[in-house]
Amino acid sequence: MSKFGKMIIIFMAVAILSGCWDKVEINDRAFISAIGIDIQGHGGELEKNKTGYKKFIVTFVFPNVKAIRKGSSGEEPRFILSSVGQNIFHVSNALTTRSNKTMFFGHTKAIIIGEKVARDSDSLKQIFDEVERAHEMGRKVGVFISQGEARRVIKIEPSLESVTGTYLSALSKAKEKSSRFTPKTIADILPSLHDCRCALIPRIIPTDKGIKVAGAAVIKDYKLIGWLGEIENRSVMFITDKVTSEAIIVMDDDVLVSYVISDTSVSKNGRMENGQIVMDITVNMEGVLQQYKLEAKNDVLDNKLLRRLESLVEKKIKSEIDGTIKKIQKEFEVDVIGVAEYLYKFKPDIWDKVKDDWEDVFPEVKINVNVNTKIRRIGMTK
Amino acid sequence: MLRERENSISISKDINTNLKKIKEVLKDCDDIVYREFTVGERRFKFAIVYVDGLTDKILVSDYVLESLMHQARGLEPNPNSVKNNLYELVKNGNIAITELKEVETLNEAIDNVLAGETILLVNRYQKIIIISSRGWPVRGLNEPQTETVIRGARDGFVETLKVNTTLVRRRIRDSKLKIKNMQIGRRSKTDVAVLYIEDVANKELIEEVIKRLKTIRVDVVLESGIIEQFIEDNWMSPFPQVENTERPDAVAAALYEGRVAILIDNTPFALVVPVTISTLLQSSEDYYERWIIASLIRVLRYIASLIALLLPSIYIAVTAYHPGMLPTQLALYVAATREGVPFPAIIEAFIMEVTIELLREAGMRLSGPIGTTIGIVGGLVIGQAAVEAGIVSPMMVIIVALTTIASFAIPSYNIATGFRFVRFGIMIFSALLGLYGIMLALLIIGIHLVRLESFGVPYMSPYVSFSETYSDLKDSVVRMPIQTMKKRPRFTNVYDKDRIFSDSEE
Repeated sequence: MSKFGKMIIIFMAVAILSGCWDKVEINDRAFISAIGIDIQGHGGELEKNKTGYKKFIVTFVFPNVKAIRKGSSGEEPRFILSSVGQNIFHVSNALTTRSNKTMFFGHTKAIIIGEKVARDSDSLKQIFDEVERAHEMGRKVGVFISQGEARRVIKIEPSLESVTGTYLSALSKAKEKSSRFTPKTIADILPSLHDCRCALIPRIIPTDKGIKVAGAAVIKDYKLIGWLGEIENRSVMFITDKVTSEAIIVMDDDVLVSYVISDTSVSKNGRMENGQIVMDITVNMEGVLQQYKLEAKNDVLDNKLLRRLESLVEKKIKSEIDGTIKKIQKEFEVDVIGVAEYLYKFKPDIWDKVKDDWEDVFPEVKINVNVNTKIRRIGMTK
Repeated sequence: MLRERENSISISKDINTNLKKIKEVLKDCDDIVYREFTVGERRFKFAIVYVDGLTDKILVSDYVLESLMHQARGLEPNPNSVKNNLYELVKNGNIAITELKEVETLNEAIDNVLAGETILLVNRYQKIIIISSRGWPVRGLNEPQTETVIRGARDGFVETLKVNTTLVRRRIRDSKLKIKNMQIGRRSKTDVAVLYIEDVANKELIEEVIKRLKTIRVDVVLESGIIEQFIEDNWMSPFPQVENTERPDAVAAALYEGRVAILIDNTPFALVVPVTISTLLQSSEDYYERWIIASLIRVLRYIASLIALLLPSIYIAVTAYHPGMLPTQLALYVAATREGVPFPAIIEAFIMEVTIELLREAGMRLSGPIGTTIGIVGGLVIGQAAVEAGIVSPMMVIIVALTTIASFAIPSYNIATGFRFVRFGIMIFSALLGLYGIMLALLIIGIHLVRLESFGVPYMSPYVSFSETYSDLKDSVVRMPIQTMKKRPRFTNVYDKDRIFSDSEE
């Protein structure tokens, strides 16, 4: 037989023997948009089933593609499926008995973890391990921790975009205008968990009108230990240089001044002083005077006024950051602001001394915060 | 057998015997005209034979019959010299035709008659004069239908070889342009001309072309395609290894690149060898436009090739195997459009592809206005109705239409058909194995392409064998400015390498 013939046979064998085992037509798939994870049971005590494993309630939401089609009306915009099982994929397998579509996680946008799950370190470890191993899911899936039950969040239909996952991913993309929460994906959280067993995960709050993402959940030792509010979250973002745009409101006597940050930069410096680590964090920001007041008694063209406004903003932000750092250092005792990372990268000699008992050292680190503000533009003048 | 019998015919001294023999060979050929006449007072016997319709009758009657029958009568030649040397006298003095030949066997004479020449038989002489009198209706020089350009010469080849060689000669006023004639086809005896520029083209290439042409053993050559199929390197390949063109300027350009052209009588399509994948994606217009635009169009053409080859397969693979590769909104939209379609994507694609092929074939067979109607009915009505009926998804209609348009954007029709064929193979692979299958199919095609040669030149040149032909990259996916292309392309291994020279070399 000719070489060509042999080649044909080999290639046909590869093609035919392997077959189309992976083939599912696109319209036969359920594009899971968001996954909610809760723990079964009531009250503080976690129930255990016979085998001793905690059971999760996993809720899936996926869009009804029929509703996307042009000219369709009256179609349910999304479907929610929910069941009980040991983990996400166990539940998704169990749900095949209740759905004619194959669940597909390639377009999953959000995993919402219920508060009770997050407060139990075993459960959180299980979930993150599963998520890390899962090849079905991408690494850019957003992670959120809900105040209350995750399925409650999922059941609320956001008025702007009915599918929860798509809504959350769009929300995360639009974060440039706000520093109320920091979007985090699996790819952000897993390394952080591996490094310090701690993480900041955005908080999601179900309300009557819809769902709101603001603030952050503080995870320490794979466990939710507390919440950061919106302003506190902003302070953390200032320190970690993640703010891209933010409006700061201060009062100048009776005038409401709005200052919009257009650019920030952060410089850090760490040193040993009398056996104590001292961190100097300088936040430099530039911005625009967005609002002052017509016919006000002060003229915004006046340099002195601008300097005064700058110092007002500086003072406000500095006090916010100081408060947040205090909370993180003294109350939570968890280094989510990247001090360890800075020392490891830039001051290896200091880091070598403290790395073994960092968790005890961190609350004692002296952190000095400086804020420099510059008003670049004042908008229209007379 | 035919040939052996003909070879044995010799010319006898008696004109009547010769005529009888000719009539015997050309028995039942009612388009042959025999005209016997006598000249002078001594009544020398003459005869002419020609094929009605292939011969310029006015030429023959005005400058052969007229001068022999009337003007010769007026002369008063020395009877002895006339008697002794009538043949030379007639040949040199009495026929006012530019081109004369003489043959010494009857079968050669008959071949010439069939080619459109007129033969003049003179009694008592064993030679026959061939009077060049070919003249048959020739189609005017029209713009080539398959290779229209916006900027460039509007003349195209016609069905007459002599006109075609003239069109090339007009563009190459170079004594080194050689035109070698030969006949191919035992029965059709089609004239074939091999054109090359002697000190540019590689000698081995010329010899190879002539050698391959000479080994053709076939009775009829109706079109250049028959010769193409005999001389190509690999007749199993879906990719053409010989270029065909209707444009004399394309042939001239190819000759200047050191390639060899083969012109065939009775067809406006000339063959050019060797070809590479890069020459097949060139259009003569690329060199007439400014280089930026030409490069842009080249890039577009390469993209079109990829679309024509891969788009339906990628659609099938992505929707059936890897929907995670699409942006979420698009994935949902595609899923929505496919909702309710009863076939898997591969079947859907085949239905649409077959429909398009049918339309293309039907439109081609029908003349202008009806063809257009078919296009409209097929493209718009069937497409629209099929989508509304929910048999195919609108995305698939877009994909298949885009693929077809892309395949028409490729200048060389025969490589476009090659891509079309290969596309179906890749579609099956992608339906079976997804993107992995597409990669497998591309590997097979890649292996085949790098092995393929056209007259000793790697088909993938200049993308392979960089060490020798890297400079050809100037004229590949992009066309560099003409000033930078100082050398001729190297893939043909040209002899005279310089294209642009300085004044001192003049």
